[in-house]
Amino acid sequence: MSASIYSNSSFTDTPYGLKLQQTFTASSSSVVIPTGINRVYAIVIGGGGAGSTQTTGGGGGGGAGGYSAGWTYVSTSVTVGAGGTGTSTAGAGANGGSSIYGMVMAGGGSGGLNSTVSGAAGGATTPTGSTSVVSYTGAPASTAIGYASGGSAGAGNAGVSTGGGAGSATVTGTLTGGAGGRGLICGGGGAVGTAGTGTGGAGGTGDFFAGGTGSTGTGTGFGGGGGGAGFTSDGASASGKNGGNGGSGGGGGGAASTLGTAGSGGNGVVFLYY
Amino acid sequence: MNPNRKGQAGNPVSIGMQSASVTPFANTHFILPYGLRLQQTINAGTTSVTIPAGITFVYAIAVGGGGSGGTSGAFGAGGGAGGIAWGWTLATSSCVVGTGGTSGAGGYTRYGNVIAGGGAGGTSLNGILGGAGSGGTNAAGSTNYWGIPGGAANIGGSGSGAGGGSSTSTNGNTGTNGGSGISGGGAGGSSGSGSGTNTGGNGGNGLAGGGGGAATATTGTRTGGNGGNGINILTGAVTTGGTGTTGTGANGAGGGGAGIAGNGSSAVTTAGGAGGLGGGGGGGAASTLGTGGAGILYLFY
Repeated sequence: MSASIYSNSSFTDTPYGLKLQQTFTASSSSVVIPTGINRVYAIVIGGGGAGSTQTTGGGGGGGAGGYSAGWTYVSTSVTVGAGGTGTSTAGAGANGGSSIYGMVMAGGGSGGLNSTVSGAAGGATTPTGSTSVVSYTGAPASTAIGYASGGSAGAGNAGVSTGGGAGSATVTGTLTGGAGGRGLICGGGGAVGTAGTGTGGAGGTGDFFAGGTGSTGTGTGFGGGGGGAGFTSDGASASGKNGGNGGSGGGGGGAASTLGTAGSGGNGVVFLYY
Repeated sequence: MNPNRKGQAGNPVSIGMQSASVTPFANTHFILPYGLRLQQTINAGTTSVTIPAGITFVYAIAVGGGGSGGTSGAFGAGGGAGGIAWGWTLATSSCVVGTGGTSGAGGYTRYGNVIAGGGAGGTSLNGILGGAGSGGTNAAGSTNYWGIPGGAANIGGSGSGAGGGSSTSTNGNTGTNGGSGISGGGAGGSSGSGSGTNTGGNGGNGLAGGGGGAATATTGTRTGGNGGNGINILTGAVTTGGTGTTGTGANGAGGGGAGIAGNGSSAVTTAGGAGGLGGGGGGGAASTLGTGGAGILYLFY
């Protein structure tokens, strides 16, 4: 007895040979896929989390947006998560939004929590706090290095999407904030607010783009953290006590010093290959 | 529709070419993954990669560094093997390849979105992101890149990152073997004082093997455990763990676990064996621990 092998190019599982055909930086309900294309390979990145700001001292940096990739049925709609918006209101930063195309989804990064705890990176969904969530491939949640790495009390943890750097609650002496984690998409730097010399942490360095630098100076008007590198642009550098914005494509926002304005997370992005 | 998209998974590369400017391969030796060829092998310390123009996607196999063995303070436990991850990623020009642990966990390895954690050092610690647990107490393996669960602690449970075996401080007892899986767990040591025979456990087997546990303290015979075996994923050949040493009043170090690209080293008198290239765990010892094997990164396109 012989078997007939069903050969259909729609069922190949390798993306090798595909080309980037469409890029989305905002949500849309009118995605057009050419007739005859039944599956596409999607790379989906969530929005970065915003940095935090505190009444005294410096805040923690925001986590990077999640990164997910895989085959999906075609869809006429796409959701692209916005980065969390940084504010000058004391407290935790806003989380980034999730991005979704078909059955490929990625969460936003967590906003920075407080002076000593930064935000975790997004996984398949959006975390809140310093512990990440499970990633699209099934890689585990983490408080340290991970596919989606956790936030930290110091320098950000490395990974694919990385956590932000922590700040400091101390208000005197020479202080430096924690840098965002090294990765593909990176978290924002932590901030310091001190009467002495303060240097904000740099945003995390990415594979394609750089993180922003933290600001340096004496007094609480300095010490903002740099924005983390996004998938499609550099993170912005801090200015005075204000944090830098995360790079587009999910970079985490830099934290602010002493009621400065925290950096916003970078917006997500969706790429379609076929 | 992109005409290059035709074909089943694993079709010869000549069908899957991404650019008309790239010359098709003259032959299609199918090694790993099916239909693609190994183009670059990257060792620890390298941070930049050059991918030819026109190659958008790369298939990567990442192996984290192996954990070091422990010393008598950690009951001479073996180190866990480094985690192993595989999959497609966008091509990038940078990479991180983990070093083997010298007194603790191995480093992680990442290319693009493919990432594997290092094995745990021989100090009763859990593995990270596919890394195996060390020997000792309550050292579990970890879930890997693809969500395959890690192994349980103490019993040497199987898992993607296998669990470590428990150490014993009772004279005359044998440490528990490390668990087997994708990355083998570190073995438990045996450190009870007395005159009985102490025996270290053997490292767990996998694609990369865990380190063997040490036998210490006793005035009787000390037999270090062997390192776990691995598999050369390019050839299918077994890579072998190093052997432990045996003697009275001395010796008793554990062998290094095999990596996916090299054999583990055998212990030498009281010095633990080093883990093999590609994530092998280091062997335990009374004082001179075996270092973990360095991680490695394979790129196919």
